[in-house]
Parts: sequence; C-alpha cells; structure tokens
Amino acid sequence: MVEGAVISVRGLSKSFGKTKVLNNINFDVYKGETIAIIGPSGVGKSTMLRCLINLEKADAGSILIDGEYLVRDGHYENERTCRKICSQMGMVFQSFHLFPHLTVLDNLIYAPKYVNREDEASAKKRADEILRKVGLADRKESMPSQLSGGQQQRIAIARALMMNPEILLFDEPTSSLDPLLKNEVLSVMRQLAEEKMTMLVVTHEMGFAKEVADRVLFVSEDGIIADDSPDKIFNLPSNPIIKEFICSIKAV
Amino acid sequence: MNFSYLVSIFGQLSDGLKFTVGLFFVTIIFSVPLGLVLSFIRVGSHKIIQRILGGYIWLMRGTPLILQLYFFYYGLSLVTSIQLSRFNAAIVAFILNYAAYFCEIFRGGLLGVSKGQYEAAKVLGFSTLQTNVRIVIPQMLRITLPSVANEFITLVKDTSLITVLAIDEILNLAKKIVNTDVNISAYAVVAVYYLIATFLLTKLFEYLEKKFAY
Repeated sequence: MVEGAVISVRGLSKSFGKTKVLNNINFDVYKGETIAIIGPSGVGKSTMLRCLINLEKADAGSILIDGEYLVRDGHYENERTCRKICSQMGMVFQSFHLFPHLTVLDNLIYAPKYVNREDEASAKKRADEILRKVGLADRKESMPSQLSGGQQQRIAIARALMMNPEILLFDEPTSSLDPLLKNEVLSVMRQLAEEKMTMLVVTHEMGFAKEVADRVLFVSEDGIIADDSPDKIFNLPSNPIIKEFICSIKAV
Repeated sequence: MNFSYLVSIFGQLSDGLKFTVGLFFVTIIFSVPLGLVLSFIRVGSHKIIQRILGGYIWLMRGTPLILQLYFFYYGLSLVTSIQLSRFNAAIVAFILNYAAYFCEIFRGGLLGVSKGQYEAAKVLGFSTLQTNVRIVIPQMLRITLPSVANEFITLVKDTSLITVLAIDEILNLAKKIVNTDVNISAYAVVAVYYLIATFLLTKLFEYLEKKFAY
C-alpha cells in the first residue's frame, strides 16, 4: 500500500452472479484530491464507488481507508468496524435519496443527533452554516418534495457534510438534473474542491472533470485503463478507447 | 313510531357500546403492533418462519371471520383444555384476524420504501434499528395510511359479527328490541351508531393524511 494515501484499492474484484463487473481494480487517492471517474456506462464505475463505502461487498481484493482495512484480501472486518471505517466518508447519490418525510433541517440534523449523539442546538447551528454554504439557508423548513432537483442535491451534499466526512463520494450527482440545475450543484462541488475536500466523483460532466479534477480515472470493461491528469486524458488520449469516448462526447 | 321512541332506543343501545367499542379498541391496540412486527418478519429472509407466517395469513384471510369466532369459542375447547369466555374468544379471533391483514398492508408499505432510503441511512451511519424506527416506519405508515383507514372502518362494522356468540353488542341489542317491540326502527338507530363511528374515523384519517403529507 502507498504511503500517505487516504484510499488504497488493490485487486478489487466484484461479480453480480456470473457477470464480472470489476476485475482487479487498483488505485490510490491522496488527501485533498478531487478525482473524476469517467468512462462508458455499465463498466462498474458506480459499483466501484459503492464498494468503497460498503454498499456493495467486494469478492476479492483489499480496500484501505485512512490506514484501516475495510476489506483485506476479500475478508471483511465485522459490521461494526466496517461502519466505523466508513463513517469517515459521505456519499451523494444520483437520485438524492433525501428523507421525504423530514424537513430539510431534520434531514441535516438526524444523523448527527441520533448517530453521533450531538446535542440538537449545536447540530442546528452547524446546519445553518452548512445550508448557507450551499445557498439554501432560507429553505430549512421546506419538505424535500417542495425543492427542485438541484436544491435537493445541494441538501444531500449538506446532509453528508453534517457528518464531517474526510472523504466525499459522488455517484453521478448531476445525471438526473437539467443543465441549469447541474450548474448549481457543480458550483457547490467546485467550492468543496477548492477547500481541499477529498472527493471521488463518478460523472459524465466532462467540463467538471477537466476543470476541477486533479486526476481522472478512466474506467472501461478492462478496468482502470488510465489514471492521469485531466490535461493528458482529454488532450492527449493514448488509448483508442479513451480517444473514441472523448471524441464522441466532443461531437455532442 | 315517534321521535321519543327512537331516542329511547338510542339510549338502550348504548348498553352494548362497551362490547362494540371495547372490541374495536382492544383489536386495534394489539393487532396493529402485531401486524407491524409480522410484516418485518415477512419481508425478512428466514425460510421456515416465512412458511409458517404465510400459512397463518392464508388461514386468517382464507376463512370467514365468523368461522374463526366459532372456532375460538366452540372449537378451541374441543382440541385443547382452554375454554375462553364469549368476549375473550371474540377478542382473540379479531386480533389474530386483523393482525394478518395489517401484516399484509404493512408489508406492502415496506416494499414501497425505496432501496435508496436504506442506503442513504446506511452511509450516514444509522444502525438497522434506527433506520427502521426513524426512516422506514414513518414512511411506511404514511404510505399505508389510506389502507389502514379502510381496515379501521371495516373493523367498526365487523364488531357486529360477535352477535353470533350471543354477546350483547349494539346490533344484538337492536335485534332483541326489534323482536320485542315488533318494530324494525331499532335497526335504523343502530345504523346511526355505525355511521357516527365511521364518520369520526374518516375525519381522523383525513386529518392524519394531511398532517403527515410530504
């Protein structure tokens, strides 16, 4: 494992039934990096991300999160240890998954209050600050259904931030949003990147990958076929698969 | 027939309310939590318990409630040494019958809570119990509220079935008055009782649906 990496993945493999989705995946993430994970659909980008936070179980390989093994050579720690290790990470989903029966404020303070036993007043105070940061300070009494998709996704990011994560995982955070709403979410993510939050972003937003990411992982059916700066990936793609993918996107 | 006669019947029928209302509340108080617990088992993965639970639900939904009343009052003492009183037999039959229906309603509600809710709760660190109590059950109850309202209203009227065990609930009293007075207006008065009860429940559930709308 590499010294100083907050996430190290080695030999990660995963199948759903007979379909092999991930085959021998290796990569490292360093503190403060923003990593864009791009590539065609159906090659396991989301599955890879979900393995990191224990929403999917890997069949083989190792995942090291901030010096602790979540899984080592295919063997998982007990559920409690896994939960502790994963508590350093937050996740933002494509379809937000806000709790629809709770107000925005309750969406934010529930986990600090019930998981971390933080007192309500302090959680509320932090919620105010974080809501201001995502530009939604005036919506804390709203129900999620009263918000636009972009607003919901910003609340989802705020909810993840409430747990003070070391690392944030984004699983296609803007894929279900129209272009206008995408931008408000991307600008929050850009701000987080500037604050040196460690982020892994599975995305089809090539603009974001190009401008904001420190590094781009290109995933194809053969695994991670490129792990390089956005400049190299987008301007000098060496691999024909990447070249074709980039060209097809430019054509759009 | 005059108005004061109807009012006097209304008064006489109120003697039966303790059975009608009592059966209603006891059934609700026990069958809703029981149905809730069973619904979680039903969506679980334990094969043998699943089978047993499936059999129980089939039996309860597959036979008339009247037959179940007969069984718990007349039949149970033949196969065991337990002889329940008339009202206790009614309570047992109603709780077991209604729990089966509530189990199925809640199961439907649980399936209506999206997988994403469980995942969001998990990545935030909620335990399974916290996820169920704080996230899943509130949403499930909201989803099932209209069906639950339906069951409550059906239960109000089903309480009249215990007439077959010669319990003096309001319908049985009405029947006796009809026979004694040779006048069927007691049936109209008993209908008013049921209509009042179902009206109140309808309003209650309308309020709840509005209050917990999201």
